[in-house]
Amino acid sequence: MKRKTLTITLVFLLAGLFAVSGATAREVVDMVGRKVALPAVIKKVYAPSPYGSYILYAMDPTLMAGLIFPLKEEDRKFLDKRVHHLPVIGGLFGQGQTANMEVLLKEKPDLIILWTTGKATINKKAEETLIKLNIPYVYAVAENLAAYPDVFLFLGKVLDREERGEMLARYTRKVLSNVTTVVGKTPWEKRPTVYYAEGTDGLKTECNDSIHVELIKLAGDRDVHRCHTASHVGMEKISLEQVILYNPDVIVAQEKAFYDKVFFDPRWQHVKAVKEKRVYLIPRVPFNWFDRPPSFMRILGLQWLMGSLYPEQYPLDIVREARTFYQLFLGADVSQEDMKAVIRP
Amino acid sequence: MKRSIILSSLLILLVLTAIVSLTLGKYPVTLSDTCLFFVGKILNEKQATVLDQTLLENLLLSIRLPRIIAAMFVGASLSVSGAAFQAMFVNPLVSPGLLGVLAGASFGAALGMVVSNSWLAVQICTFLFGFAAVMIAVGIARIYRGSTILLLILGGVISGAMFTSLLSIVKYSADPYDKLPAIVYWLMGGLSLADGQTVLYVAVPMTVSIVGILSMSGYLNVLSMGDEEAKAMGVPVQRIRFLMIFLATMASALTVVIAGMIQWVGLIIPHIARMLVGPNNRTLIPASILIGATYLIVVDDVSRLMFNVEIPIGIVTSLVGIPFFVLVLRKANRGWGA
Repeated sequence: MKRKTLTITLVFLLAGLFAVSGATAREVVDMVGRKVALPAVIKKVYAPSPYGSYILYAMDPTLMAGLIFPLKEEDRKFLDKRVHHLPVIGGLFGQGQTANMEVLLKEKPDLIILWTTGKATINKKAEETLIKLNIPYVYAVAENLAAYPDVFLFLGKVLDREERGEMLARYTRKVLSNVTTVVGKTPWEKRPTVYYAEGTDGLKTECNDSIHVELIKLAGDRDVHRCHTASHVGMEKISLEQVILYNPDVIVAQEKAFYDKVFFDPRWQHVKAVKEKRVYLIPRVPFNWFDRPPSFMRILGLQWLMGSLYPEQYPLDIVREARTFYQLFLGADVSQEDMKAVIRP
Repeated sequence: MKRSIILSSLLILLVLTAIVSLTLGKYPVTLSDTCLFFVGKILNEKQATVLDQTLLENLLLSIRLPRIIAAMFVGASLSVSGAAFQAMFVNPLVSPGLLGVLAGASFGAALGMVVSNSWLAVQICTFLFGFAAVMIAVGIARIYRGSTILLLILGGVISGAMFTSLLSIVKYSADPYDKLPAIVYWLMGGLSLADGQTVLYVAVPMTVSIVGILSMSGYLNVLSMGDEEAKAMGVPVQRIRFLMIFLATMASALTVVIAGMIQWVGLIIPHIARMLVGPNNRTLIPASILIGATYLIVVDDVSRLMFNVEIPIGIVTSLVGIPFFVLVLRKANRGWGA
């Protein structure tokens, strides 16, 4: 009697194993080295951070299970109609509005993509929550912009969009290597110094080693505010007198309100960048090109910055390049006029 | 006699602090350059300075001066509102935020930042919601009959709590990479957005409030005896109180408009003034104004100069204020009126 029960149990266990292996067609090693069994068909993916969410959009917008934040009105026309009505699931652990786990389960994603800047920053708490959901998850790691080609390749493999992943990786590599060449040829003292102006007063900035100003680092590493970043949030306050002392050649500005008034505000007239009219407003529709969040859009943002800093050494038709980029990464056909409006609102 | 000596020495201290602060800054300007510049301005002829004249004008008149003036007005407004409230509510623990004005104004500022990119819209929103919060508090108090003071305080607690929660909602729904840090930093307080023009158009209503409260300081003495006594002496308690609340609200809401949330000043400065000149509001109110103005100029100097980056001024006022308040409490234990 006892033996019979055991046999039946074994049979069921074996059957169960086969059933499981039937559903998990593939196994991948994710970017932190975990082996993850992936479901055979991946139709819906959830990425609980803006970085992951944006890059998922670039890989294939139809895969998105939901949004992190509600879409902004001005962004809609650049985004695929199919994402306009996606539910707002929210993010996890300080990455935006906290997700409601029940909404997440209701949307039943086949896979979750977690984003991290390195093995050290893996959020154990997030993992514990996810394990309970019983949805497979993979880690994408991008410590800096140079890691993006690998992320594209990895996601291409995971999402079964290998060709697309390779294409995006190729484009990114080309941009990065062009930039490195041009910057390498320019001697240190010839590279323009840059001040990153955040906030409506233009008096918040980042330390030069912050991820928020990685583009300035790549484009010659002449950020005027040299210090060590204490927190990820950033936005260090700085006094106008300090900016006048720094006397940057170029200002890249995040806020239109600041950009609009800086040329008329008498207090700013002693800053070299303002005197020489080299203040540039960062394009931000539909996603910010430079920072906040520092996403893959920076691959375009880097070219824009290089074109602004080194007009002779890095000649660039930014409108044309941006249209190519939007077509390639966002799948958006943007007219010449519309793109001009994005770059110079 | 003693009163005029103390007040005039406080005034001299304020003027000296302002002048010294004008010479302090991140950009190295020598004392002689500063003096020569002002001598040149007064005599209307250019003096030979080391730094370029227009740069000096920019540093001294466009960057430093508006900030010093703004600090002065903000300090004075918060202190005078605090002193008036403490007398009116017969309570030493009262601060200008009692009726919810700071909570309302903060909510207004955050809402403005989320819905609009125009700074003027943010400022208007700040001011209006500061008033709205106080009106709700007063409205709640008027629904019921009973001890007006107690009901007003409870109304303020309710209105303040409501706007604090509303503020949280706005923060929660704000873009966490862009708008949220801006809101958080603004609520920590700071004078970096105080440019000449803003200071100019905010200073006028602030002066009205300060002078208004100052001119009514005699009534505050009567009010601080309690409603019954005041009524018995023929003072129109309700009318005076609401006028007072109106003026104090205007002054406090405007401080949020130019400097964000600055805590503790309105609570501590009246106590310091009281230690110095005693409880008579005729002296206490002007003393609070002068000390508050001086204090905030000094605190802003610290926030400008201490590090390469600016420290939000609200943090400094709290950090300096809290230990000081503990000391004041020891003294207050012996009876705050004396």
